[in-house]
Amino acid sequence: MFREKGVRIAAWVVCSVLACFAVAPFVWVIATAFKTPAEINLQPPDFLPAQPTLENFHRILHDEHFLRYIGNSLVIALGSMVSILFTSSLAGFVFAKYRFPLRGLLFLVILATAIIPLEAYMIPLYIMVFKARMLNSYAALIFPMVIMTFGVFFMRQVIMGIPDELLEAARIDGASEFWIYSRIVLHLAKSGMMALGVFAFSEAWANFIWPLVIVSSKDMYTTELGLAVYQRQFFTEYGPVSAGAVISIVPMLLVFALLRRHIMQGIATTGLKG
Amino acid sequence: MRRRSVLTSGLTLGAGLALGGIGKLRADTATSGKLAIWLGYGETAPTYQLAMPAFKQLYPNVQVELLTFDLREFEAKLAVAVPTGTGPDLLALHDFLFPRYYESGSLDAVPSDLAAVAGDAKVFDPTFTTLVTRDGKPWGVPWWTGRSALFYNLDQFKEAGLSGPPQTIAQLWEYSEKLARRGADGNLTRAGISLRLTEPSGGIQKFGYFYYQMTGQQIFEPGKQPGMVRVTLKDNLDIATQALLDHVEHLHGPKKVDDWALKHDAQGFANGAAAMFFREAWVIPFVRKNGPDIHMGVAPMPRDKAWGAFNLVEILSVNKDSPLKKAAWDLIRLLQEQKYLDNLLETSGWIPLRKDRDFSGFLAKNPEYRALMEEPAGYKQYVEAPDTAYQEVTARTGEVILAAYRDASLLGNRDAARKVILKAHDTAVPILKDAGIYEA
Amino acid sequence: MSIASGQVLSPPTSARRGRLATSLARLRRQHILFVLATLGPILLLFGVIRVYPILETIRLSFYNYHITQLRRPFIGLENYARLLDDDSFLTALLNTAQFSALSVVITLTLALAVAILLRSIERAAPGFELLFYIPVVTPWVPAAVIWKWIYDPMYGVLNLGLSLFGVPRLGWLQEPNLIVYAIVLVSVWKLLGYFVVIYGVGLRGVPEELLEAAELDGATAWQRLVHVVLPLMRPIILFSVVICTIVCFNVFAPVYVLTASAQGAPAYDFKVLVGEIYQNGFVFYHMGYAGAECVVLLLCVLSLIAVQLLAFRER
Repeated sequence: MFREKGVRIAAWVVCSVLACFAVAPFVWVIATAFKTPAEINLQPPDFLPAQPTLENFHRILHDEHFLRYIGNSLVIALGSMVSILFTSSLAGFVFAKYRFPLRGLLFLVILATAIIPLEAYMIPLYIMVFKARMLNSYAALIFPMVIMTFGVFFMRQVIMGIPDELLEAARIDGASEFWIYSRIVLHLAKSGMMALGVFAFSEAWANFIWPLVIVSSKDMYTTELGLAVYQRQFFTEYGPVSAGAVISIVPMLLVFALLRRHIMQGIATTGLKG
Repeated sequence: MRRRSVLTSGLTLGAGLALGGIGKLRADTATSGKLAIWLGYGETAPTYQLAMPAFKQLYPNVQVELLTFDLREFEAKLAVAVPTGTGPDLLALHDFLFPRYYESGSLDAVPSDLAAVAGDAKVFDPTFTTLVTRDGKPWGVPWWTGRSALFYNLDQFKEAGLSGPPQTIAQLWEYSEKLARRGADGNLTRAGISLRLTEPSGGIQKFGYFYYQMTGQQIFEPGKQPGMVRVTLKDNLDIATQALLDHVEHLHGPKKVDDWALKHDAQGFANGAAAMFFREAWVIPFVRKNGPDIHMGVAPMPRDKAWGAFNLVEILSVNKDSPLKKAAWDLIRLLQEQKYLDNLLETSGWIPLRKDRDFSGFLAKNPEYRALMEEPAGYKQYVEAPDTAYQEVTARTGEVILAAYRDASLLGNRDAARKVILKAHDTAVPILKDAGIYEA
Repeated sequence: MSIASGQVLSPPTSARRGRLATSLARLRRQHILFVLATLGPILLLFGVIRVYPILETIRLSFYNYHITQLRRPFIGLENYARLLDDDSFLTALLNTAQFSALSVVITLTLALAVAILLRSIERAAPGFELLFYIPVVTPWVPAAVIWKWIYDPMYGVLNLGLSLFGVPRLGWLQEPNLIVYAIVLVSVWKLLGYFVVIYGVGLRGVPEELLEAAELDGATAWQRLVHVVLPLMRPIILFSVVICTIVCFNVFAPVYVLTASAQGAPAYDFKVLVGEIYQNGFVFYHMGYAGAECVVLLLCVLSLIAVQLLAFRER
C-alpha cells in the first residue's frame, strides 16, 4: 500500500515497540511460571529463569484439580461455541436473505441487547436458572452464552456477501430452505464461522462472574474461577498462579495461531471492508 | 408469624420457588446427601477438614463440600443464593452479614443444647451472645474473633531506640515519626505506621480504632433496639476532627509517616516496609510464612480516654432451607471441641471465642498471641453494631474519610476537617434511615 | 414479494404464468414456515436470556426493590431523582466517560496507525497481527495477575523501568489521578489487537489500482492516506468506534480484577458505571436503584452511538 522507505522503517519500529508492549507481560508471566520461589522474590528481578522448574505447574495441576477445571472450561466453551455458531448462522441467514414483517425492528432489538453487560442483569437470570433447577450444572453455565448478539450481526454481514443467484438456483432445483442453509450457506460462510467460533470460544472461556455465582461445587469450577480463587487464597505465590495463568491462556493462543488465516478471511467476508 | 411471612417472601421470589421449598422441608434430618459450606475466610478451611473423619463417623453418607472464596465474592454469592433458597447448608457468617440473613428468615433456630452454651456467660462473653440473639434466642453460635492488636517490628524499634510498644495514641504517633524512613529521593521507604488508606469499609474501620480509644464510642454504636444503629460523629465532633487531623498531618508534610505508594498492611509489614500496623491475629501465621526474617511484637491496642479491642466475629449458623440441618448442627457441635479450636488457632490465627477451653499450652509455645488472647483488666472487647446496611454505610462513609486523607489542604485546617466529619455523619444517616435502622 | 431480492426469473409467458404463480405461492409458504421455524426459537432465546432480564431490571428501577426485604413499594422516578445527588454515581459516570474517551481514541488511533503501517510490510504483517492478538485472547483474570505485578509501586516492573529515567515512584493503582491511565493502558493493551485485525481486513479491501493511480498523479503517501484510504475506510471505522464505545462504557472486569483487595495491597476504589451497578445490586442489595443506573448506562451508550452515526453519515 505504501512502499516508501521511510514508511517501511517507521512500520518496523512502531510495530516492534508495540509488539513488545503486547507480548512483554505475557512473556514475563511465562518466565515466572518456570521460576523457583527464591528467584521470583529477587530484587531487582531477573527476566528469565536461571534454573527453569516445572514445580509450579506440578503444584497447580496437583493441588487444585486444574485438569478438571480445564475440562469444565472446554465443555462450556465448546458447548457455547457450537450453539452460538448454529444460532448466529441461522439467524444471520434469515436476517440477510429473507424479507418478513418487523425484520428491521427485530434486528435492532437484538443489537440493542448488546449495550448492557451481563453483570447488570444477572440477578433475574440467576432466578430463572434457579427456577429451572439448573444451578451448578453445565447447562446453567452455558445458558447465557448460547446466543451472541455480535454473532448474529457478524453472520448476517458474512451471509449478505453470498450471491442470491446461488440460493435461487438451488431453489429452482427443488432444494428446501434448510438444505440451502446447511449445504450452501454454511459451506460458503466457513471462514466467517471459524472467525466467530474462535471469538465465541474465547469469550466463554474467559467468563468469570457468571460461573462465580452459578457454581457451588469445586468439580464445576472453570479454569478462570479456579485461578481467581487460587490467586486470592495464595496471593503471594506468584509461581503457581503464573503457571495457572499460562495454562489458561495457551489454549486460546494455539487455536488462534492455527486458524489465523481463516479468521482473517472470515472477517474479510463481512463486507466491512472499505 | 412475622418471621414466617418474611421467610415465605424470601423463598417466593418466583412462583416456582415455593415448590422447591416444600421439597426441601420434608427431610431436614436427612443422613445422606451433600452438605455445602462456603467460606469467605479460606484460612479456616483446614479446621473443617480436620473435623471430617469424626463427622464421617456420625454421617458416613454425607459428603461435605467446602468452597472458599474471596470475601467480596463470597458475599456476592450469598447475596443471590441464600434468598433464593440455594445457599450452603452451613452458613459461616461474619457478624455484619448475620443480621441480613436473620432478617430474611434464612437462619435455623439454634438447637436447645447449643443455645444453652451460646447463652452461658461462662462460655461466651455476653458481648458475643448479644450479637447472635434476636427475639430472646440465639440464631447462631459465635465461633472465632478477629481481634485487633498492634503489630510492630522489633528490629526496627530497636534501631529507632524504642524499647517497647506505644502505650497511648499520642505515643503511637510519636513513635511512628521516629520509625518512618526516607530514601535518597525523599520518598518514604518505610512507613512508621501502615495506615489503611484504600478500600473505604476497611478505611473507616481502622479510623474507628483511633476514634474508639479517643472517645470510648464507636462511630456506629448499637442502638437501644436490636438491629438499630446510632451515628456518634456529631456527639464527638471535636475529637473526631482531631483524629482526622492527626491522620492528615502524618500523611502530608514534614511529619509524614505513610504513603499510598508503599506496600501496605500485612504484606508491607512482612516485607519490612512498615514498622507498625493494626490488624488481627491472622497476621502472625502470615508473617511467619511470608516474612520469615521479621521479628514481630504484638501488643494490645494503645489507649487514650478509653481502652479496648475491636472484634470481628464469625458466627456459625444453619440454613433454614437445608435438608441436612441436623448434620450441620452436629458439625458445629464438633467444631466446638478443643482439638479443632487448637487447630483453628494454629493454622488460621483466628481466635476461638470459648472461654471454657484451655489454650495455655498453645500460649506457652506462641507467646505472640498473648496480646490477642489475654484480657487485662480494663481492656474492653467491643463489636460493631450489626446492621443490615453495614456494607453500604461503611463504604460510603469511608469514602468521605479516605478522600480527606488525600487532601493536603486539610493540614492544620480545623474548620475544613470539621466539615469533613459533618459530611461523613450526614452521609451515614440517610443510608441508615433508608434501611429503617437509624436511631437518633 | 417475500423472496429476497435479486432472484433470477425469466419474464413469464402467459402459458407459464399460472404454474409459476402456484410455485411462487408454494415458495412463499415454504419461506414463511422456514423463517418462523428457525427465527422463532432463536428470538425466544434472545427474549428469555437478554430481553426479559433487561426489561425486568428496568422495571425494578421504578421500585424500592431490596432482595431480602418483604416490602418493595413502587416509587416512580424516585430512584432516578436520587441518582442526581449521588456522588458515587456521578463520579462513576465521569470516570467511565473519561476512561472511555481516552481508551476509544487511543486504541482506535493506534490500531489504525498500526494497521496502515503493517500494509507496508505485508510479509511480516501476519506475525505482528498474531503478537498483537495475544492480549485479546488473554482472559482478564490472568491478565490482572500480570498487570497488578507490573503496577506494584515498590516492586513493579513499570516503576523499576521508569526509575532508570529518574521518574519518582508512582502508585499507579493507588493514586486517584493515575489509576484511570493505568486502566486505560491495560485496556488499550487488551483491545488493540482486535482492531488491528479489523482494520487490516478493511485496508486489504482498498483497491490497489486506486492507490497506484494516485501515486502516478504524484500524490504523497500522506495524501494517498487522507484522500484515498481513509474515505474508503469510513464504514469500518464507524463500526469500530461503535463497538469500542460499547465495550469501554461497559468496563468493569479490568477494574474489578485490578483493584480487588487481596489483603495487603488494595488499590484506589476507582468507580465505574457497571461497578456501581454491581455494587448496588449485589453488595448493597438495592436492585431497583441498580436498575435505574442501568437505564442511564443504556441511554448514555445509545445517545453516543446516535451521535457517532450522525458524525459518520455520508455527506
